[in-house]
Amino acid sequence: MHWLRFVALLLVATLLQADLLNAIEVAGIKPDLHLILLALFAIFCEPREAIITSFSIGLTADLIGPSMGPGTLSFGLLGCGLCYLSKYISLRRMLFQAVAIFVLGFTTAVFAYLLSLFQTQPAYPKSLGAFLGTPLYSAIVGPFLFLPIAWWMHIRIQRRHSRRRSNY
Amino acid sequence: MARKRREISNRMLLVWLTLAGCILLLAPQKITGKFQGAFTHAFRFPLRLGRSVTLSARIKNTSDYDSQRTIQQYENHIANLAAELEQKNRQLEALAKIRYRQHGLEGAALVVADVITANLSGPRNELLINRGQNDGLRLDQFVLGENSIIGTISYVWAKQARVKLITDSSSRLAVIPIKSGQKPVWMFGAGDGQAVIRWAKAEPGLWEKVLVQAYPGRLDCPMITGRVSECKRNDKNALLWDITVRPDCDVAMLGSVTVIVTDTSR
Repeated sequence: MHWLRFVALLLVATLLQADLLNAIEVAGIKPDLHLILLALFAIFCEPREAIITSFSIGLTADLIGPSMGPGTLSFGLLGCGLCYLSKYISLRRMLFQAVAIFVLGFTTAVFAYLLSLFQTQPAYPKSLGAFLGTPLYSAIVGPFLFLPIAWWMHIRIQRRHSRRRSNY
Repeated sequence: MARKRREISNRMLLVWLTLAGCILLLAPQKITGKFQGAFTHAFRFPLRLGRSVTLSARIKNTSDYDSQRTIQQYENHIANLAAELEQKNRQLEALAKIRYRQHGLEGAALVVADVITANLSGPRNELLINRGQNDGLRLDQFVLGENSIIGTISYVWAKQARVKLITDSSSRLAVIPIKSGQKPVWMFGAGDGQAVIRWAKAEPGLWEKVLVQAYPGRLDCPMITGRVSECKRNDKNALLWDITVRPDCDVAMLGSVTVIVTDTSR
C-alpha cells in the first residue's frame, strides 16, 4: 500500500465531499466519496490494510460530518466486515460492486445513526435520503471511480481476482 | 544486536482502533468538535473555494438570481421596518415621554462574514463562518442572512465561529407569530431546514411572517426570521395548532452572513 498516496487521496476526497459535491446533488442527495473509497479498499486490499484504511476513512468522514465517532466506528467495523466477506464472495463485476456499495452505504448509515444515539446531541440524519438515496447514488457512481482510484493507488484489481480464482 | 520488530495481529489492531472509535464517540462533543474546527480551519481556503464553485454551479442565471435576491432582501427589510414601526407605535402609546432609539440596529455593529461550510441536512443545521472572537463575535449573538434572522452564534474560535441555525434541533427562540401584538411563544428547530411552534392557540395563515422577539442587549426590536409553511391541528389537543416555519431566505445559497454585534465596547 502506498500510504502517502492514500493520505493525498483521502484529503482530496474529504475536501470534495465537504462542499464541492453539492454541485452534482440530485434532490438534495449527493454521492459519498468516503463510502466509495471504503468499498474499494475493503474489497481489493489485504485485511490489515483494509482495517487501517476503513478507520481512517471513517475518521475523515467524521471530520466533515455532524459529530465525531459514529462514522469512525461504523466505517471501520463494516469496512472490515466487507473485507473478510470479500474472501468468500467474488466482487469482480461492476454490478456486484455497485450492490456492495449500496448495502455497505445503507448499513453504515443505519449503524452510524444508532451509534449517534449514545451521544448527548444525536446529530446524524435519519432521513430516507441518508439511508437509501446517498448509498444508491454512490452505488451508481462508485464502480466507475474504482478504476482511476485503483490506478492512482497502484492496486491491481485483476491480479487479486486471478489469485482468488486460483485458490478455488 | 538486531532489533526485533513487533508485529501487531490484525485482530489486536481492530480491537485498538475500535476502542479509539468508542472513546471518540463517547467523548464530550465540545472537545471532539475542536478536531472538526481545526480541520476546517486548516483547510479553509480549499473549502471556501469549493463552496464558491458550488454556489456558482447552482446559480444558473445570475441576473435572475440577483434580482430575486434583491427583492427578497427588500421584502425582508420592509417586514423588519414594519415590525419595528409597530413596536415603536405601541411603545409610543404606552411610554410617550420616554426617549428611545430610532433604529433597532443603531447601536449594533454589523460584522459581515463569509460562509466556509454549511451543514443543512439532518438534525444539526449549522454554518461555519470566517469571523470570530477577534472580530467581536460572542456566544448567542444573532446572525442575519438576507435581512432575516437565520440563527445565533453557538461556538466561537479566535478567527472562526459556528452559527446554530434556527432550524437546528437544539435551537430554541422566542418568536412572535403572525401578528406582533400576540404573546411570544417558543419556536424549536426541527432539523432538515424546518422549525416548529407547538401548541399555538391561533391558526395562522400560510406564508405569514414569524418574527424573533426583541432580546434586550442582543436584538433591540423584533426581526423577521421565517414564514409559516404548514399548519395542522395538534394530535393530542385539537384546539391547539402545530406550526411549521421555514427560514425566510435560502440558507444553502448564502455566501455571506451578517452578525449583529451589540456589545461593541469589547
